Amino acid sequence: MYQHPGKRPVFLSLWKFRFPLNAWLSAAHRLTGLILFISLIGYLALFNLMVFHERVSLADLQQHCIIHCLNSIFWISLSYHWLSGLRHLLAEHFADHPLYSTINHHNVSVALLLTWGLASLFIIKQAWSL
Amino acid sequence: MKFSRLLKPNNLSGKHAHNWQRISAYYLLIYIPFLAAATLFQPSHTSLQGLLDTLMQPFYLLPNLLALILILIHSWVGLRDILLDYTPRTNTPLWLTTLHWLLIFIIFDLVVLIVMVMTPFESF
Repeated sequence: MYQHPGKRPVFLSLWKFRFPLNAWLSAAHRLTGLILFISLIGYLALFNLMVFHERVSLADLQQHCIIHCLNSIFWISLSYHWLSGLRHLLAEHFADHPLYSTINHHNVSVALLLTWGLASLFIIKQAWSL
Repeated sequence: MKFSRLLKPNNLSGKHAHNWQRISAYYLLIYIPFLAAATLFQPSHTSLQGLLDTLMQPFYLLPNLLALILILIHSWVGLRDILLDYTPRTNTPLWLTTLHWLLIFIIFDLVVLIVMVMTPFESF
């Protein structure tokens, strides 16, 4: 690996790079994974609250806007993580196959984002009972 | 492999972790639509006891428990990779230790909750 002769750290601004769409999608897969982990801790805290606190009921929690937010964030992140994860698995499975270039094609990335957008609208509608 | 060795970045095996990541991903790929369908088509529960009664049915219990274990493995590998990739190398062992203790705490909490809900309790 290249090292600066003076061993001084070199700051590279990520905003000056032009990343392909697939790079953004891959980064978003990690980001949504992190959001899912935090959401699961949130659900675990709520479950603790219901089990250990007699006054807190499931019916009360279901009406609360924080739960609607948590449900929306969880399912929107999960839908993206699932779609991009499916694509990662397919790409790994077909690594030495002509299908690999199709899976990584720009149009497939756009289709993934469109599918996720539609799924997100459906999730918001369901979570907020619109 | 000893627990303490897992905290040293040089001793972390990428291949084993990647295999576990893939195995858990294949299961979760099938489980998540099942969870979404169950959430969408099951009538909404108003009490914790009603929810627990549904979750305790064998049709839900086994897939959910397996998913829970695999989610923990999947998140452990995923978060570990994020920490290895993005934290400064001098701080990585500290971050890994924090992650491991957080996961141990979550597992402990889950076990306590499972024991609590398995025990008959009138206030639910």
